[in-house]
Amino acid sequence: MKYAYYPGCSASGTSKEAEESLQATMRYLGVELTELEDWNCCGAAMATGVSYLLSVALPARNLALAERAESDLVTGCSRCYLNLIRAVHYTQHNASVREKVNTLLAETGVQYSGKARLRHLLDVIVNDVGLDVVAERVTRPLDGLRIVPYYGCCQGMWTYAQFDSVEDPHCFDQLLATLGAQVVDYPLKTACCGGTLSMSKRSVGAKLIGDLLAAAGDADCIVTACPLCMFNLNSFQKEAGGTRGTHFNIPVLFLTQIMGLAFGLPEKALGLQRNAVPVDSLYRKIAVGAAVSSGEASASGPR
Amino acid sequence: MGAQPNTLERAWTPRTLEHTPSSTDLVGNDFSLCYQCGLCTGSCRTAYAMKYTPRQVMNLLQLGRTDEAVASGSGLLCTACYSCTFRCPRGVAVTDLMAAIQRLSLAQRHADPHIRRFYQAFMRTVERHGRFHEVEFLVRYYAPNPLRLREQVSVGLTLLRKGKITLKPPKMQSQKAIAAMFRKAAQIEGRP
Amino acid sequence: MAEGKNDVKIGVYVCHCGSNIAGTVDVEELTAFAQELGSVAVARNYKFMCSEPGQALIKQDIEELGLNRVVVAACSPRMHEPTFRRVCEQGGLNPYQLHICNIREQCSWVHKDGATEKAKALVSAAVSRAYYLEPLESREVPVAPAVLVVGGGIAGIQAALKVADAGRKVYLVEREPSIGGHMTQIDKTFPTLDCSACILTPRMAAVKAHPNIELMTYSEVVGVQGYVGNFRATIRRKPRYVDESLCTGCGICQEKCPWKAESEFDCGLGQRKAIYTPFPQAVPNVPVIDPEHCVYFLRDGKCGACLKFCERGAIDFNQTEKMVDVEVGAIIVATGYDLMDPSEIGRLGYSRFPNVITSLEFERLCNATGPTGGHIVVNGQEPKSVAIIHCVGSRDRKYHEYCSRVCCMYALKFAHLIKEKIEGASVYQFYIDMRCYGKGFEEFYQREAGEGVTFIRGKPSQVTDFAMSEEEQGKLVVVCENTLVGRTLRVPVDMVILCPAMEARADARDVARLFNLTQSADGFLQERHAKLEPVATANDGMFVVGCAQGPKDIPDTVAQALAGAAETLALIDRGSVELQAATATVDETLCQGCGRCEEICVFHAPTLSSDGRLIPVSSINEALCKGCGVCAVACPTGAISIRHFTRQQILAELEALSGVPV
Repeated sequence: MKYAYYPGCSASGTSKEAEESLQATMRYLGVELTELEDWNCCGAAMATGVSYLLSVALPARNLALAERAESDLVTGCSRCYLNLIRAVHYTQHNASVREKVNTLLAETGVQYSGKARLRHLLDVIVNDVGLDVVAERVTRPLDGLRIVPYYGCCQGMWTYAQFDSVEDPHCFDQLLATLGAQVVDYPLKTACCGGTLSMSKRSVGAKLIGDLLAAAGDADCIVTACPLCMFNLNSFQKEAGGTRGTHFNIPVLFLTQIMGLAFGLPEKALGLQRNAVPVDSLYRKIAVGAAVSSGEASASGPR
Repeated sequence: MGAQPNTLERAWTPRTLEHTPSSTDLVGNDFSLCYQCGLCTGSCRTAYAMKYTPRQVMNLLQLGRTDEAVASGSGLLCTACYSCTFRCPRGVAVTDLMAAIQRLSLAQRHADPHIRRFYQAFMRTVERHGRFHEVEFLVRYYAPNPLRLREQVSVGLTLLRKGKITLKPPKMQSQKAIAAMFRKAAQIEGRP
Repeated sequence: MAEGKNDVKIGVYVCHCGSNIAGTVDVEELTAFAQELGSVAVARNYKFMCSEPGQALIKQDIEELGLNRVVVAACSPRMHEPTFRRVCEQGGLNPYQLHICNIREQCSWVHKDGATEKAKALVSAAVSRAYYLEPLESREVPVAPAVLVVGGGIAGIQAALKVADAGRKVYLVEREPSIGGHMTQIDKTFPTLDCSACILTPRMAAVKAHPNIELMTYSEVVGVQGYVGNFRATIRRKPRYVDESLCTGCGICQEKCPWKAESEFDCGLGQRKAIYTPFPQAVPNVPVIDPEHCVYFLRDGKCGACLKFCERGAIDFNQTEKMVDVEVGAIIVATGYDLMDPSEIGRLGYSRFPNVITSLEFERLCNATGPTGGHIVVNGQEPKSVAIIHCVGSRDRKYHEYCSRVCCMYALKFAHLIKEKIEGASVYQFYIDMRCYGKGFEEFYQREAGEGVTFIRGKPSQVTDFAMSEEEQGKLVVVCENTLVGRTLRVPVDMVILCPAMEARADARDVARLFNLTQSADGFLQERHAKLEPVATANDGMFVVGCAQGPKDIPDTVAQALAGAAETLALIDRGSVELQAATATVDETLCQGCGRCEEICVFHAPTLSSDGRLIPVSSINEALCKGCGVCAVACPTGAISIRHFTRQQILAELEALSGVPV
């Protein structure tokens, strides 16, 4: 299984742990990811505020690069995925947009013909690798760990991709169950975390994050499918608590981090020390700590 | 063996909007189909904070009162989660219309200055480096009001401690080409 | 015919059609042009050719000038071809020597510039064709004086009764073990709040008792052949495993049967036995055995309790299906509707929460013969607050764009029933528009508002059990925007009733194929003309009535059923049907017997037979032939030609249009 890989801008910074754990677990599962050469920012949530054309052309350039590399493109960031698939869709259905986007892309020496195939990380794990393979590679089942599967809102992505239900997806639930976790029936699993509002309009962002954290109840941790969601839910627990007159302290992990834990990969490889809310409480619960710090399991590829 | 979803919603193609040359023009006229059912607003997580809800914005657009919709600042609170667009029974591309309102808001001086600067600072780093540069963004965003940096102190320190802030700007080959893309887009869209 | 070349006298009549044609086409210039064409004896124009004076013009010219061809340049032949054919007949001319040239829909209505030039070309072509037209005789075939009604719901029942009352034989075929359809599942009907069973069961009994109605329940039509006036339908009578002639309907078999299954009649909320009548007032009151749940079938002869207890010996496990053929003159399709399954709309929680139910399920809860004996109870509890959500899957591009018509009204009805049965209950109606258009409907709406029903204008985005406040604990919460105030609203309730869209039956496509009908874009069976022919279909002699044609309430269903009855009676009383003369004909000297025509014809009109000849030749059954021309094209030797559309006639038109000799 070989793919071109689109890391997205948060991978090297605010969501470094997402990137690290993604690389480690994909290697472990035998998925070959080649970083898309010369990729550019997808525009996140900001491009649409400045220019409609750029909001389609910026992600489209990455698709054009993937086309040139003759590779399927995988991304682990839901926001990036949404932007990319939006570009796929909008250029597909509107000739005028396609033409103008390619005019912009010509400035960078590429053209987008609509052939690139885009995949979300979850889709690849659940459908290409397969849950039975994932189950085989689990060495430290997350027995009894109560996990909230937070898919995040980028529902638009499923609208166009159709690899899971938009309103009630469960590929993530199934993945977590395969890892041995007790999956919490989370009512807000596709509710928006507020995206960049946590930074640009703290009052609204904090409220949204607060709702999400409160709904997690007494779960052991929340696992997200998007690095930005992870950043939001991790970094603003104090402010979120403030909006509700309460206190939150719930670990929030990225999906490949929890996968890595179940695979027995070392803490450092999964960037677990970088999560804003410490994840030590989890180790106690699944007794992974000992095995992990003694470096028992190997992170260097399939057996 | 892969996981199969229990239900796949029917393939949904909202009508994509025709791009018009000026980015400050309201894109498309899908709002005319809106029959004011309110499903978009019922699905919207930030509607509670909006002066005019998404549905009300659609109504203002229908009445030609675009300026009011723009001035309300509703577009700036849209997180583009697409829930509204996905569910709209008339196929109105609500999210994209909110984005258009957003563009119009941000182009005007009286928009919330923090949010305005947030968008502009972000895109400026992308324009210069081809990728988002956290530190430069922070500088641009907070420069006019450095005291506001206080709100980022706890987050920032945590990030620093955990080694998640890269001071070096990102490097990609086509930086100049990306900048050219930005200029070309501005030219086509008639932006300064 | 013995006409010489110079004997052809063509009259050309250009209609102004008010300003419809004259506003864009220069009718004077056109008339002058037509006058100069070959064999045209006279060319006139008039404001409305279809009017009495217009028609009189033509008649007069035929008589006085000895015209033997008429060309009318006017609107589409679909409008007035019959009119002008009659005019020709009245004038003494064969009606097939008329040619209608469409210079309205195909000219003046679609062009601004160049319309006159185009009209000239069209008229020139028309005149060229008219030259070669020949007199033809249409035939009449007798109509079998019987009607087949497919579907025994209220539509089928009413249609059958009306036709039978007129003294005609009716075959009423119903798929379920009993007639009655969905109306049997309904508790009360709006706006009068009549008990549904009370108004329906007398009709059902009347059907059973009527000497002219042959009722075949637990049966399906599996094949239809023939043409208007002469249909032959094959009906499969499924085995009940109970002898209808012996059974008295005492019910002891059902009592004694130890095996249960989900009751379809109760929408899965209750149970029935493996031997069952779907509901107490079933007609016929003869049970059927469901082999998928009957242990006698599942375990090779075990049990047999019904056999033991039936005093009449009516149980017969050896029954087999029977095929029955009937010959009828007309068929009425009244196959009804299905209710959409709202599971697809996950955010409303239908598949998650047992206290989110559909309207039909709620009818069963309300109804005294239902699984709860008429008590509105979910999870063993009586709900103190109920939300009713309109437009679930209707008025929604993602599911069904159309409005299902009945839901606003039955939602009001539900509000009343809830208020009546549960002391102090709160009812919330979540609507987008209130559609109360019928007689007594708006008054009913007022009455319900007066009973204290809360109307919230907002399409709910979600039904959730996730409580965000004390008062929401343990409840279902309906989330929407209260659009009249412009704020998000969360309403905690004990029960949610969804109003799902009325859909075409799941097998509508198969039914359409079987009866050679078309479906509209919304999936329902299509009527011939949306306004003027609401029950006729493109297939002569076949009629569609009731919800099979589109969502509607009981009054409209009955109106359509009676309309269908009138249509079929008109057909039968006429006694015969005129077959169109433009049929295919085979020149036997050219026919090679290849059989391609037989293969390609979808109406099964050509048949090959040897009849003592060396090679078989094709002959066309003119009653079946629609004159579509496909066989003529397929025929490799050109042996087949279509009367009234001969090669000569068509080529003449083309030559005139293109100016190129063909």
